[in-house]
Amino acid sequence: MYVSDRIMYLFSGLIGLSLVGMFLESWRLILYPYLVVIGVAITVGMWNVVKKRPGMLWVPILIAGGYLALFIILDVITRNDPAGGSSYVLGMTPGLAIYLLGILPLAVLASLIYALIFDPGDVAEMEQEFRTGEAAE
Amino acid sequence: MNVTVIGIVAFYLVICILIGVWATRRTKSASDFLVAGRSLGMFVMAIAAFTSIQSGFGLLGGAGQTFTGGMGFAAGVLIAAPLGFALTWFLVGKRIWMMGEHGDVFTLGDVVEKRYNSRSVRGWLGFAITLGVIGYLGTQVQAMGVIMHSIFGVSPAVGALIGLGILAFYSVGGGIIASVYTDLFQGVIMIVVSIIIFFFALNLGGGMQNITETLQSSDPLLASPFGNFPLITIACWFLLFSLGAAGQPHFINKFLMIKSAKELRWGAFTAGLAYAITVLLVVSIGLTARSLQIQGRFPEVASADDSLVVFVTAFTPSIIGGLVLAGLLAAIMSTGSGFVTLGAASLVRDIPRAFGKEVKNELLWNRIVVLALLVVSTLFSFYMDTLVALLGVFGWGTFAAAVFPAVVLGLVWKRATKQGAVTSIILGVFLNFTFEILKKYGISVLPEGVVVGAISLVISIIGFVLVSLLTQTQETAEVEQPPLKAMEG
Repeated sequence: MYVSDRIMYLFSGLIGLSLVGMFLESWRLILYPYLVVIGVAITVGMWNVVKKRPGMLWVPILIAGGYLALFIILDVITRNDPAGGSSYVLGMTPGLAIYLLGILPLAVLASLIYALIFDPGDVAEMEQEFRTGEAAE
Repeated sequence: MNVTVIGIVAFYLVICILIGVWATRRTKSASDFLVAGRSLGMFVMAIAAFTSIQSGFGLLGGAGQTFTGGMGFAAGVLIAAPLGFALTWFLVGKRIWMMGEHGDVFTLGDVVEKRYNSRSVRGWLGFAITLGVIGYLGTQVQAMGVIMHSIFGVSPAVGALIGLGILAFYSVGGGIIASVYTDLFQGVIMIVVSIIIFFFALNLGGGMQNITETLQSSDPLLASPFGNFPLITIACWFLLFSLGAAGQPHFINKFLMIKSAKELRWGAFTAGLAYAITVLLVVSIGLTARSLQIQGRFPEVASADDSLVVFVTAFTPSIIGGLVLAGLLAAIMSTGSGFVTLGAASLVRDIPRAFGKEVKNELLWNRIVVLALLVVSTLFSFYMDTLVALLGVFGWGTFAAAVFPAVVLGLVWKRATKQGAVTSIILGVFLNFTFEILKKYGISVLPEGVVVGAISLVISIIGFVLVSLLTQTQETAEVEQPPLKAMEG
């Protein structure tokens, strides 16, 4: 089961939008399509699993959706005030807190999800196929 | 520098030498030298992956940029990189490992030759990697000289020679085994030091809120998530340093070194968490140092990049200062050792094989070329500053633009063709080099704030897909069965 052309076109199209954003000097047009690219890239990465179990699409949706939600909140609260408000969250401005307590940990969470959905049975089967040369047949 | 600091750093260097001796005894073949005999467990591989990405640029440069302009650099570069680990593991972790199982696959050149059934893709990739390695090594030599000068008081040239001598000792003998196990030791130092410094710096600044209020009193932007950096630059960095991580050859070639696919499971989490912890060091030192400066309590620094070294030498106990400086040296040396082995693999294996020639006794030649690369990069850094600066731009952006489409997208998309791969490699190298040279000489062709590496990466991806679609014919039928199996992921 190989990655379909359509998902590669979606990937390329979104990357193309980011390129347009660079020429139009619009950071939103660079960033927001790219956040969707993150979800598409993860879907591409776990394509075999997604094809067998479409329910696993929750993984890319959760990760890309998390980034989109956090960046949209950041965008909204910093529109008129670069700090994102006058209050403090653990001593940080609200904008900085979203970055250090939301966006940074989300990257680690994405890696944690990779570990949690990792299927040892799938890997054992894969290793067996290679060692016995079945894949070459 | 006081005796405690010198003692800690000297102890660190001795440990590196001892690891080198041990690794040299274990290195008996080209497979050992280039892929550690495919024997690595999860923790060793993950920490080696983390240290290969977290270099002196991230620590010294990151603290300096945060000190000068607030959080923008961290927001764009340092916070994106941990996401890069997750994306890389998802995209190519299993795929590259499986290609390695296909026998006699020691380099990314081997991977792309098997994937595209093309020697030219191997040759172009080897050429791009060699250029990048020479540039990166030159900058590492210079950085090593500066740090050794700060610690031991020797001239930067002598400092660079001492550091290089040790690097050569363990890299020539032990190859990638020495590299990954010194990385392990160096990575653990970086993690421990980062945790200690984070709490120490916050305490020194009077707590996070006090630091924030001090920064706001001087310039409200300093306490914002973007600092004084243009938002367009931060958006470009975020793209380049997360997606582009999967194109860093010194990182992704480590998937060829794992002993079993089961070892992949916790690798991304371990590497990502380790990197995120070192972000705390950079951010806490950068922001605290700036707040101390606003209060008139921070010494004058000649350049922003000195802020980290000045902070640890002026404000931390000697033992912590020694550990931080050892950690800094570790970041530089671990990146250097990974690159020098990568460069040797390209020169000894990939480029000759691209021309249909196989080098006999690869182990011996790899050792000779590692030494030669270190000598050449040292001479460049001493006598050809401009060339080093130019090749230095062949850093992250060039690797991302040249390697990501050909290797990563090539491994996930069956319709990718060798013509698409060669186009993307040439575009990646050409665009980065051209844009950077033009910028260096004051000719601006890109919109203000757009990062060269980011625009090169997206153009290279689009070029790869378009040319692949235009050159379909029988390409996909030429892919052998085992690579196809690996591509399923």
